[in-house]
Amino acid sequence: MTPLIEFRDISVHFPVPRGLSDWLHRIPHQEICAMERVNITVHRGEIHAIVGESVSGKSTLARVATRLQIPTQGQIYMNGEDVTILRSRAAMRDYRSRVQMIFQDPFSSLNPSQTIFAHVAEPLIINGTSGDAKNLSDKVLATLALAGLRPAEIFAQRYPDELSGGQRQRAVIAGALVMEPELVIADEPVSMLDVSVRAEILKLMLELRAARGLAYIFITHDLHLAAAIADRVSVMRRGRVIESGLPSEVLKNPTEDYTRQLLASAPTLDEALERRAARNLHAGSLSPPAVARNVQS
Amino acid sequence: MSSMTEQHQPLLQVSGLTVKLRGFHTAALVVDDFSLTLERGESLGLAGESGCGKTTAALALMRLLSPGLELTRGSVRISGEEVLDLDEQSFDDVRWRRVAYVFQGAMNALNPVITVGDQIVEAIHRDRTQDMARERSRELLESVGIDGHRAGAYPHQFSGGMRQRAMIAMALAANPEIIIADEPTTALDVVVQAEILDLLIRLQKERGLTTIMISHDLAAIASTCDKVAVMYGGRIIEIGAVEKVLRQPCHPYTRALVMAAPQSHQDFRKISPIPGTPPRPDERGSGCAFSPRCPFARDICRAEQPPLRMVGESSVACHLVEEL
Amino acid sequence: MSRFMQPSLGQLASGLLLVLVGLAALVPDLLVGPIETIVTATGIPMSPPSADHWLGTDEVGRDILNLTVHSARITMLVALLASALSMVLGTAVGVVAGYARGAADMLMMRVAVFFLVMPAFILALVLAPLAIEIGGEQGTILGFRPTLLVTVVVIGVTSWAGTARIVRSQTLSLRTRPFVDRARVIGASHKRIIFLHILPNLVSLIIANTILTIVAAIWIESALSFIGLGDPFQPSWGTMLFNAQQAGAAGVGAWWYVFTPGLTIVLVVVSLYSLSHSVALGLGSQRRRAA
Repeated sequence: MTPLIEFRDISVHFPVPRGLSDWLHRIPHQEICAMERVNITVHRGEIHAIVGESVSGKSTLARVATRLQIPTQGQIYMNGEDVTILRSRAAMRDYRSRVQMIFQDPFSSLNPSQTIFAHVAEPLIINGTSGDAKNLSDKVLATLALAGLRPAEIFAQRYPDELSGGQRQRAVIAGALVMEPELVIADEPVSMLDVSVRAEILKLMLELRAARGLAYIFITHDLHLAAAIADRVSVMRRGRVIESGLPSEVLKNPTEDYTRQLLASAPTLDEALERRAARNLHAGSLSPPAVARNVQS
Repeated sequence: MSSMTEQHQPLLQVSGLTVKLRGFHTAALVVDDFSLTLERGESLGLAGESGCGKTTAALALMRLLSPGLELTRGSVRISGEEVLDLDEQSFDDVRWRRVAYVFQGAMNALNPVITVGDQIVEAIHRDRTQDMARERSRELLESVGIDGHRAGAYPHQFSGGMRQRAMIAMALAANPEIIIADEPTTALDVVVQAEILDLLIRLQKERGLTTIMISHDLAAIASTCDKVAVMYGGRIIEIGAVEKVLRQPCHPYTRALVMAAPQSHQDFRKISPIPGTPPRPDERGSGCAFSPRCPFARDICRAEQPPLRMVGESSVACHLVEEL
Repeated sequence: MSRFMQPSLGQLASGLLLVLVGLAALVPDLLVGPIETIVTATGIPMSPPSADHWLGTDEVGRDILNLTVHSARITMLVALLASALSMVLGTAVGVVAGYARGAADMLMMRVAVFFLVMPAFILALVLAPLAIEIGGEQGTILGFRPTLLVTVVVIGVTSWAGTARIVRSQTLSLRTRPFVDRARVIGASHKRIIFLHILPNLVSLIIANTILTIVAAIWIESALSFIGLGDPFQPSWGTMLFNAQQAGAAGVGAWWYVFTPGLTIVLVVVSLYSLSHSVALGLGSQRRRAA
């Protein structure tokens, strides 16, 4: 079956700006490799989790997928078609209607001077699919209700600072859903929410997948969360995908040391309690001694 | 592990700490009747979500409340001595020398134009010469796992994890008996988080430190602390040994928190999330703060605030604890 | 929480004063009657405050209170026109430079620095005689009295750069926020992003800054008038000070003549600073909530 989207050998290099003294001393051009030959495939309705720490390249991947960043090398295929370079506005619009994004920080993902209604209506207005005012309003309110903001009419008139973290994230989700995309890039969608609120947002995302066949690229630093929610997990480190597979495999039999380190460093509550009990008996330590970490990093 | 030496007085005894928002007519309590006892060498985790009052309670202990907040009552005794009614100058000897604080987001609170070593020197109090202070500063850096030669570096040259270690070194500078660490691992990468927690455990053991760790991450608390106090709506609603409270939570809110903690085999479709949001200080009614969201709430819960009382090995503030 | 903040006594007093100034500028006749001229002056020249003339009289017998109220109009007119010019120009340059970055940004900022260091006063000294020559002593340029035009132009030209830098700085910060990224992801044009996402979030900043520009404009206008570069036929507080000096008011002990316009300028400036501070505080709390 043709995958929904494929990233083939994507590399993103940023040149390091050179100053006059670099030129004088003939220091060679340097590059930062944010992504290096990354291959990711997502099928229709699939949740593919990308797990990585801060400079792993996961956020760059999100930007490439939403076309905020042009890859230095590599191709992007959507439904079998090469969409790496989009030449016409119509092609761009088509891509955008299929791929949308949810950001990490619900506090700064919404324009503080815009009502929730305006936020959700904007994609429709820009892409000319709004129809008349009544049509637009119906669609926006329906999407707000779908994202769990009920009564929609009340929430539509609110400004972001009047909403709680969870409500804001729902508004962000509504803003992504209104174009009826096929793929949603979710960049750490719950990491800035209170623990008790996370479950409801995750539940919403899963319900939407079930109802609409939405696919997700779910980016997170939390390997356990990824394993709990995803159909496939890819681990990224320093711009490369070092491991990829079914969640149960990656968790139980990680092939890479780094993955093992990630697992050991972020225990679940049960694991933490067990380790504590063991430590009380053996006076051991928490972080794995196997991989010697250089403190200078 | 921790040595539970019986002092004739516990090292830290806090009772009835209450903080309210200044200028509000009705009681807008940010912290309500906060009490705890710590023996020397014990470590307590203060758990709860944002807005529950845990940071405010800790700041109140240090008399570092912002001007908009007011401590209305409470007592803090260190080794039997009351410290809240000391004048500013006398309390200066307590603050940092007996109780040190590692602030939330502390890594970003380092002065960017002063070297890390010099900032630690600043934290090393008087009666030392400059050279002695520098030497001590290097020692402190070594004790938290940073090469002493890097004392001359500036904060931006350190990684996030190293900066957090530097902050911990600063807190240790005056050899305090008690350290309060506010969310010491937030905003750090996963692997670095484990290293910092490890460091805290090691320091506790080596120096017999008494620690209070504020965190919303239950796994981190489970790894590093002996006791845990769970806060909601400004009050402690459950407190006890970590193994007891986190394995067999009694209070409905604690149960919900434990359920929501990351587990590998969670099925999110099965979790029923708690509806609603935690109350703001000025929104709290007369009954239990959690009652609007509690699935077991009864009339008594909405009418009367449940007191914190011993139930088995832990203390719980819930009217229905025997039945649940 | 800001919903619960009460205005302080100082803020209330400032607000009241500004309202009075506004009334004085808009409907002076309602407050003190028509402006007194040499012909209609009724008082004894240089007389101290009394029941008839609350703030005394000037050298031809005009009521000082009357003059002070009528002067508000010209002073505020110049200040507002000049600030509007500065605000529009400064915001436009600041937003474009901050949003576009790169070569355009560098170029615009170099130009801005040039204007930043230009001394308003010297420029006015140079341009005023020129304008008077073009328009004639009694005539007008584009419907404005020459010296008035010079003042407005000079203030506008020398203060836009400060606004531009502040606006650019905030634009740089805004354009990296996730909600701007999101706008790009949904296909918003640059124009749309600037007008719907960047500018609305600059409003508080621009207002606070413009109020400060108004303050500077009042200062400069008063100073220019005081040294005689103002319009002798249109009263402003600076012109009153000029006249007072010409009439030797200080020498004869006519403190009310010097004190009144001077104190008025100071009070208005302080009130505007207070207003700007309040707006900036409101800005701070809004940003804390939004950011």
